[in-house]
Amino acid sequence: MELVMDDREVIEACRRGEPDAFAVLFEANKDRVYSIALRYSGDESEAMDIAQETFLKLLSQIQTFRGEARFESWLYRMVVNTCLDRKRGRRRLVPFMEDLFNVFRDTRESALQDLMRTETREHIQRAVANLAPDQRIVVVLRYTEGLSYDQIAEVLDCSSGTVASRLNRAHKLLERRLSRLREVKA
Amino acid sequence: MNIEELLSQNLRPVSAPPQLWARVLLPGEHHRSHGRRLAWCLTAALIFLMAVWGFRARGAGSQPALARAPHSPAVQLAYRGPRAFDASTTCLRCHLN
Repeated sequence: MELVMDDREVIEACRRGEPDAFAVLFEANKDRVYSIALRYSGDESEAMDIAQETFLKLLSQIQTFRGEARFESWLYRMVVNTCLDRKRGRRRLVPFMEDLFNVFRDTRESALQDLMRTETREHIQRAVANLAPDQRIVVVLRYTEGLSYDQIAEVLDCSSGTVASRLNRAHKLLERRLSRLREVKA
Repeated sequence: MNIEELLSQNLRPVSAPPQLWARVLLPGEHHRSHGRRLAWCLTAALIFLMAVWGFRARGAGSQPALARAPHSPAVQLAYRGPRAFDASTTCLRCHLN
């Protein structure tokens, strides 16, 4: 399904309660919302829950969107709030067990120096998933969505300096956590 | 490769799974994941068992006069009848004697 209508028309149609318009809006934004949710949570099932919750909020709160801000910023803020509202301790038993298993697997395979690309990606995503929520969301908005510091600041309702500072801290932490992996790759 | 390149390459956007639309359309059907549903079922079963156990314990102790005055021969007689004087009620015998 393509976004054939203008954004403003789609939003107006959604506000009137037209189901087709909501389908168009969903189709245009589903990948964006799901990507942020997945990169933030690091878990597909959790990402589905976050994305579902975001779209349900969108459906119920579209009436309150007045068009003063850009729709994308409004949607980003909604998905970010949904992500941040979910408690950190909600990680399921299965990912926990997977992490535990990986600890043993990592030590066994560290001598091999032949990490597969998927495993590298898993390492990085796990390292990101272990960052503090305020740093993690900045990293996700920057590298998954490619937002500028100013855009991130607008979404998070803080200054660009705060964004830069959180990103800088996140970089340092990730560099430290991934240093072993980078040594193996080199 | 610096950290920024590493993150850009490994945190790329992904496509949403097709099931997401069904979950948004029918939120009640899919709202809880299987793990969470199982956890809720177990919690509900535990609460039910504790409630049953609690009511049974309360029922067993619902002879207030007997509990309050276990050694009173009159109460023993009222509640137990002639069994108040069998071989197991030694303390009652002491009272009667």
